[in-house]
Amino acid sequence: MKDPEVKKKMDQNAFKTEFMGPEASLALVKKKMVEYEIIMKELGRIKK
Amino acid sequence: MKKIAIGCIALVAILTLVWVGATGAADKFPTKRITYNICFNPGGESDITARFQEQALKKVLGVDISINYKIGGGGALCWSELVQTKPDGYVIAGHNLPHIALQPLEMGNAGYKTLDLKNIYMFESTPNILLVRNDSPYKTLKDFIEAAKKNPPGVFTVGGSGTSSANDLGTTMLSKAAGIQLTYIPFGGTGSAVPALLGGHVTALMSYSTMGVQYKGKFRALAIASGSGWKSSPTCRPSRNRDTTSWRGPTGVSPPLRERRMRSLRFLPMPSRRS
Repeated sequence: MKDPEVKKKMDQNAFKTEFMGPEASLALVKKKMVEYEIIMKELGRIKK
Repeated sequence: MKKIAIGCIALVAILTLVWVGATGAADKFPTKRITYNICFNPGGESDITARFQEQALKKVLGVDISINYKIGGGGALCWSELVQTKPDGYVIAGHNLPHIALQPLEMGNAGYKTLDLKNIYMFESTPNILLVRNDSPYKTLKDFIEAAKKNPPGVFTVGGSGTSSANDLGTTMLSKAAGIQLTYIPFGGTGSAVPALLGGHVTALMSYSTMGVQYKGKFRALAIASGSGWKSSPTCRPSRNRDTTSWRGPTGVSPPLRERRMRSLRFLPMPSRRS
C-alpha cells in the first residue's frame, strides 16, 4: 500500500487499485452473483 | 482398568503430538515454492498484475512464486483444475470477477462453482473499453453504431478475452442497448485479442482500460463502461449502462490457516486507492 513504485506502475497502466481482503472480496462476489443473474436473464443468456 | 487408563493416556499423547505436528507444519507455511496460475494468455491484465504481485508475494512469503499459464474456456479450465488441487495453499490462481460468477451461471457445469474459489484478496479492477484501430473510419461510438446498423446483422465483429467474461457481457450489453447485432469473437486472453485488432481481423475490441493505455497511438477508445470518460480519448463516451468492471486478485482452495500469511500482504507494499 505504501510502495509508490508499485502504485505508479498500476496507475500508469490504468488499473484502479483498491485492496479488498477475503471477507470484502467474498461479499462483492456474492453481491455481483445476484446482479449478474438478473442481467443474464434480461439479456436472454440464461433461462428466466 | 489400569491398562485402559494407560491406553487412553497413550492415545491422548499421540493425538496431541499429531495436533502439535500439524499446527507446527501449518505455521511454517510456506516451506516451498508457490505456483500462481494465470488463466489467460501472457500479456493481458491478469498476467501484468501477477507480475506486479510476484515480488511482493516473494518478499512476504519468503519463497519463490512460479507463474504458470492455464489457458482455456475463458479461465474455466484453470479454475476447474484449481478446485481439484490439494488444498494445501501451494497452488493459487488469479481470479476474475465477473467471469467466475458468469461461467457457472451460463455454462451450467463450468467445472467449478463460484463459491468453491476462496478469494485471498482483490486489489485492482479495470472497466470495459471499446477500442478500434486509429485508422478506423469510426471516430465516435455514434459512428460505430450507425455503421453497424447499415450493415447486415453480425457483420461487425468484436474481439475480447474469453466467453462468459466481462468483455463478452459488455459486448452483449452494447448490442442490446444500441439495437445492433455484434458478433463476439472470444480469444484466450487480452494478450491474444490485441493482435487481432492490430491485424484488422476484427472490427473492434471489447477490452480493458489497460490496453487503451498500452496501445495509445494505435487504438482509439470509443466508449468506456464506467461513469466517467477517458482522458486519453476525448471522443470516448462514458457508459450509463450497468457496471461490467473486471476485478482481479489471487484465489485458492486452501483452509483459512494457510491463507493467513497471504492476507498479511495488505500490510506490505501493495497498491491501494487510499495509499
